[in-house]
Amino acid sequence: MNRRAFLRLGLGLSGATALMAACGGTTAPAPTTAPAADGPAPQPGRVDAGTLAREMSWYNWGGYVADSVIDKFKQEFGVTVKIDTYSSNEEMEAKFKAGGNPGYDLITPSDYMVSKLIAAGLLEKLNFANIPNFQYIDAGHKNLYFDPTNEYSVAYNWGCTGFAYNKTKVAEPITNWKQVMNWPDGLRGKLGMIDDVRELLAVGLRVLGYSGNASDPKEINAARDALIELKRRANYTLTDSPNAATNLVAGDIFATQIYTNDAVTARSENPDLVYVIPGDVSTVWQDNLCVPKGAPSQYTAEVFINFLCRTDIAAENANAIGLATPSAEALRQGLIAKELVEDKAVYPDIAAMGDALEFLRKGDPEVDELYQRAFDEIKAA
Amino acid sequence: MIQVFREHRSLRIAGLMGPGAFWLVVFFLIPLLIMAVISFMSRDQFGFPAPPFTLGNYWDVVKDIRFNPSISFVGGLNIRLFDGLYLELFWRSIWLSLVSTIITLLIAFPVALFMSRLPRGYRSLTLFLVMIPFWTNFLVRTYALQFMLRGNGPINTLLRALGLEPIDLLFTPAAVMIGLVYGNLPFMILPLYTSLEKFDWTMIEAANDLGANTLQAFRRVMLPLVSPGLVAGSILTFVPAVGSYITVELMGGGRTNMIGYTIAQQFSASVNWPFGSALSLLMMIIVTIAAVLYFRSGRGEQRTVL
Repeated sequence: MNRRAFLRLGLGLSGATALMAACGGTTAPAPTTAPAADGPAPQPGRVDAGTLAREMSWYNWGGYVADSVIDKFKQEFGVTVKIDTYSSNEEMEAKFKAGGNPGYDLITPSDYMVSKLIAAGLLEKLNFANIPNFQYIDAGHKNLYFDPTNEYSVAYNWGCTGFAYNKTKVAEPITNWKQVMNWPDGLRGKLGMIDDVRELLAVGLRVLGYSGNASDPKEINAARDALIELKRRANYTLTDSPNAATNLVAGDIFATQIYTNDAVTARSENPDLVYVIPGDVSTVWQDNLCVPKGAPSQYTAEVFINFLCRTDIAAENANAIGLATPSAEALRQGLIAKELVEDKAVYPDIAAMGDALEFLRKGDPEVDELYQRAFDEIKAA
Repeated sequence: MIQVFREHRSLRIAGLMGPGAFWLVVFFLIPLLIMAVISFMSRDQFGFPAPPFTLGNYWDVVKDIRFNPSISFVGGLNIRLFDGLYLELFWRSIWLSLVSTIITLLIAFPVALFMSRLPRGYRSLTLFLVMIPFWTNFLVRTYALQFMLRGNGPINTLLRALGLEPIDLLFTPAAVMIGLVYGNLPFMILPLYTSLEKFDWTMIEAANDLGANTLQAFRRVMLPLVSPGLVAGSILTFVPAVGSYITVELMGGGRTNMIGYTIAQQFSASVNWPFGSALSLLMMIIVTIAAVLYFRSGRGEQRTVL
């Protein structure tokens, strides 16, 4: 549903303590080091205050920015950032397709959605002269397939679609998707998968040795059959990732496919949960800051993007929302909480994993239809 | 101004009907027509509706329907004449909705009867109690219901305390059924109550005097007279049940699928507006036919009485 806050609602209902913990907002670990003094100082002198709008609006995933970051931007630049939230890329896309830009200066689409929005002519090219802090973004998060010459987007956060399980209930440590597909009969009904057509089918495809982006109907149908067989045997639930986290914490399921951010939240509620990126190819995704066509003030949005890329702010934000930051500088200066940095599931070694991490590329309607049909058949089985 | 309305009947009608008609035309009829048009369109490269016009979306719904009679005992007696992915989905949605409507009715009727027999002051109080759940958002209430049914929720905690085995409730078809009945109960109680409140109990006495036993009096006197409430309540329960979405998503956990959820997906995750529109329109047609048949049978019932 959304990137973070939604789980809180579900957990809140499962007990007053969980609710209080959620309200306290203490789940994100504090940085282990104080912000380094040699971090780049704010450079308000370079910002043309006259061109800055008084307020800007950001259409963002729910709970996907630290409140303190928004407050600091207001203090330093006098700009109020208003936030509307969405719970899926498609929901955001539909708003723009239905009636043009309803007045947003900034959006946060994921990888494949950036390429769809570029193709539809819905994004402005960014003026990187206003975003000097882009230099602190890791090269591995620039010039990716969805924006090959990096003209439209700035990496904001990234993560994976991995697997979380309760180590007190699942005897054998899980390290790959093959184990998931061979789910033990004794744990029937205790497995969860993500209710997303591509994420679900990608697991079937990859275990069979195909790409998660397969477009051959034979491969897609083979994955479908494997997942139907698994459904008959394991009777897995299909929920969205935040709900899967809630179900995992509540103990209704013992293991689930899950996004990194939801796994981190779930784990902070129950230390028995283990989160892994299965080694036999998992999905990697990246959310990006983009300015939609028709933005009331592109300049203000760019100043804000630059602010978000500033090392101390990037660190503060990443520590608060518990996702991997693309800011190489924040990592180099040791500003990111140890628990996060040292966790190979939150910061997998991209170079070492190589082809074992794969972006899911969506957007070809004919292929999408094949997947959707297979997905509907799995659900009906 | 008022004088003008008094003198001109047509103006009066326009004044009374205008706002409602305007609302329905602008926010219901026109969108419905747009949806109908979209259901005959193709998708552009982003999944949104685009020319040329086609019957393909409807073909996609029916193309895999095969004559394949079968009987199985999976989940009760299953008699099937035809096979087909979406046919099955429609059928299951209607079947589950029908069962949920009957359960809702069985629960609601005694409640409404009880309410209608209370002294006047208590009636408003009970009406008020029936409506209290509406003060909370349905999504939040569904999460609360989820919590009730969880493995470590109150129901299973109670079972354990009594030394009984806990049961898997959440993410079962039973959970969807509980969600549907819970959500629709007030919509059944309220129209039934309205009918029952007006019911003249001396009619039962008269029936008894004329030799009818209690069951006969109920069936042949009371039931026909409260049938407007019964029909209204059943339709208000059945129709939303067929299209329900949140309940299916949160209570079913992806194991029990219904057509409303599949349609919603066409407009969100899978971005196929034309196909979603075609499914919606087919669902509307099927539900309308079911409702008309039901109305007809209701009228038939009354005729046999008279």
